Amino acid sequence: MQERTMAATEIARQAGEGARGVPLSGHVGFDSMPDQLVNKSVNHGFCFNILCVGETGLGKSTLMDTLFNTKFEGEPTQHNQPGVQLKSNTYELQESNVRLKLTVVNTVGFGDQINKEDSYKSIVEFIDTQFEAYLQEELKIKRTLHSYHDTRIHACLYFIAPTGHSLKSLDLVTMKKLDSKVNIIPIIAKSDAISKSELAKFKIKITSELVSNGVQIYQFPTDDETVAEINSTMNGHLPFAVVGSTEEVKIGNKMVRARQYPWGTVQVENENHCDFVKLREMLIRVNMEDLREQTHTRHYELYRRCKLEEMGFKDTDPDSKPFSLQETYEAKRNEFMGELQKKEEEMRQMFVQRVKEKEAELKEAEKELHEKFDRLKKLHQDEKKKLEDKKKALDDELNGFKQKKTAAELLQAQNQQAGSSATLKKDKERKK
Amino acid sequence: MIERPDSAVSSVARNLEGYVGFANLPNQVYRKSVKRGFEFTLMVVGESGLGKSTLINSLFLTDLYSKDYPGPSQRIKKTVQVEQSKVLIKEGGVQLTLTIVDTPGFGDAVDNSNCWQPVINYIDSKFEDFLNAESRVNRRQMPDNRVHCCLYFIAPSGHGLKPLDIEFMKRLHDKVNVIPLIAKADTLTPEECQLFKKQIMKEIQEHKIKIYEFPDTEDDEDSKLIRKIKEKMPLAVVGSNVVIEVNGRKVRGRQYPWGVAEVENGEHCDFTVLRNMLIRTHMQDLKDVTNNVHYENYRSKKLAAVTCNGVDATKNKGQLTKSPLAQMEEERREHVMKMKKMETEMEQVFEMKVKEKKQKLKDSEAELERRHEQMKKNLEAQYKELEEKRRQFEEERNNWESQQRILEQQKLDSSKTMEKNKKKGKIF
Repeated sequence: MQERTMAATEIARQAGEGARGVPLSGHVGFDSMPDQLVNKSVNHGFCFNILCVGETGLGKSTLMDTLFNTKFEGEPTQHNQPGVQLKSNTYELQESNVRLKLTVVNTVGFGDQINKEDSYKSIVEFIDTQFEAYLQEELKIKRTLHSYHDTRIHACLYFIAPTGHSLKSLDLVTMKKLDSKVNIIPIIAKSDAISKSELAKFKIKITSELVSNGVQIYQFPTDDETVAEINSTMNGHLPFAVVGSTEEVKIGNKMVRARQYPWGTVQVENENHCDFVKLREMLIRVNMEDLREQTHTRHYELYRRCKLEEMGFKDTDPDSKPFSLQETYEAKRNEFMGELQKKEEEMRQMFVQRVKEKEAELKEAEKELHEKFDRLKKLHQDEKKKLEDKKKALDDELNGFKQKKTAAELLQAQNQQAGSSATLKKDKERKK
Repeated sequence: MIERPDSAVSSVARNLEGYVGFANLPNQVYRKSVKRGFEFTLMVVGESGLGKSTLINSLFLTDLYSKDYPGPSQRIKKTVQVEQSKVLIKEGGVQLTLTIVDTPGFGDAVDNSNCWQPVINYIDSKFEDFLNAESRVNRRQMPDNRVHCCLYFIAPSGHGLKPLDIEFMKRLHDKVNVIPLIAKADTLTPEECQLFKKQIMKEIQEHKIKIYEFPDTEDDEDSKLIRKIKEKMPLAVVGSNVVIEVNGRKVRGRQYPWGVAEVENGEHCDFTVLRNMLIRTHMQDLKDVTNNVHYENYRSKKLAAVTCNGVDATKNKGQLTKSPLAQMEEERREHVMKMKKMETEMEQVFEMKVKEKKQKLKDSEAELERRHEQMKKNLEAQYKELEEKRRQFEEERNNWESQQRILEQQKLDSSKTMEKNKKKGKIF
């Protein structure tokens, strides 16, 4: 509800165009409107989502605990994570009559891998997923935006390691990828490791590096007179150098949150020691609502615009006539149906083609087969003929032989006869 | 499809040790809302002469309708018009852009059928404008011109609702917050007024007309107040911007020979109740109900009509919870699955046919092979036969030839012996 009302009247024109000013002759009572609005939102409850990005061991969880004066769940992470994961936890907090649904998202394993090229990807994906969920809800036909639990990230605290020198390239790359998607508030973590003079130089270096790389960090708004001054002063103190601690130490007669060293005690809430108070002031007490508003009107709108354009939605047709929503949807739908049909047709065609090809193939194969057997048949015929010839030759020989034999036998028989008749003759002569 | 992050929500509200500061959030909201300014659109509907313009002027303590900007009742109208006047008023640092929408000519004709239509059209067109603005790719300033409240003026007949009243309210209760008012209540005595109110409420319930309802609050005091207001519905009002002196007090009222009807006197009329409710306590709620209920109704009807074009009605029920785009996504996925199925089916049929054909080819190949083999065997058998024959023949020939040679030899020998014998004279 909160978001919806905000969006609706949000960028409402302040002096309505075409509205004439008229004086009032008494107290009408609409000056209670802001109160009415506030009461409604208090009844509804607020929600805020913080994303903490930073290497393992920079004190992200401790800082959250310190900021919100409570112990959030969680175990300290090890350094051996295979990739960057995001763990989110939601807490219901209450302070006087204000209920806050706070979601803290931590990057686990950021900066621990050897190859960190893809580290930013899971973070960007996470942020986009929350935008997408909201967009889907907004586009539903029956939607319940006023009771929707907004999970979009309102503020991203980027933890910079207290090297004292400059930003790491991982930092620059990551922040560059995130600056158009979320409000980035860079902070120097564990800043009790840096001396005051080093700190000033460090801050200047960081700021100039951010500027020269075109990284857009969140600027505290200076358009509202009530807070313009403090915001612009604070803008000059960025990035905030913070120290977090949930342990208490007795200073004077008070218990304060601090870190105790042999050489002294770093008091978290002492503005001379670190910028923790400034961070708390800016993040929670002064600009929480603005952070939510920026997320909704700037970062979310950008995401939405890109997404819709990606899907082919436009505001006006080529003739510069504005589309009504229906027309757009109908046009989209027709296009979509057309596409589907085309795909179907294509597939059918492809099959027809394949069938044709296969048929041709098989016919080829058949032809070859027949050819092969024709060849074989011919060979066979040749062989047969050879055989026939041989047979004939043999028969001829056989006949020839028979003849010879018969002739010889005849001759023999004749000879025998002659011989025997000769013998007979001789015998006859002898006998004479 | 979209995975929301797994978050553990601790259900017990944590109490924080030490002051964090987000209790300041309401102040931040306050600040920003004042900076932005507020908008409100109020529609007044009723026959001419019921004191609508006067009431508006009384409510907002200004001359919205004055000599320079005369109210619609001063103009002669033939048909129902819908006219809006926009003014910017400031009070206590808060700016309010107030739009009053008037409907001159309503109910004034002899035949009033459909005189509500221009009103409905106006409300719908404002919804449509908002919907289109909200649906743009490039969304920029979205002024909220939707009608947040409709004051419906009932003539103080004392009897009951007229058919036109019932018809109008029935048609509009789903589109706008309807607050019925008894106009010119100074013509009714308190008892008459009570009866009239009861009668009206009875008829409203009978016809199931949904007039604007006050939201329940948890606060006991507020609940009591709200119950009191509910008992007074519909509110009977009197309007006036003329200041009269009564017993030393300066009040706004209407001077009659028999006394002064005070506008802001709770015993005279319910004007104060109306003003407090409309402006001082429930203005924001009226806007919220318009936004969350009436507008969403309009929107879902509009979008459902779009996406259900060409889709068969039985599938509609489950689809209203999706955005049209998500629906298209799902249809696309369904189509992909369908295509996959079709593809696998066609693939199967194709494979089967190919297999069949291949099998046939193979069979005929096998058949041909077989025949070929057989012929070969045949041929081979014949060859063998031939070989055998030849062999036999050769054997026979060789035998015979050797026989012949023997015979020849014998002959030669015998002739040799004969010769020898001849020589020896052994011839007998």
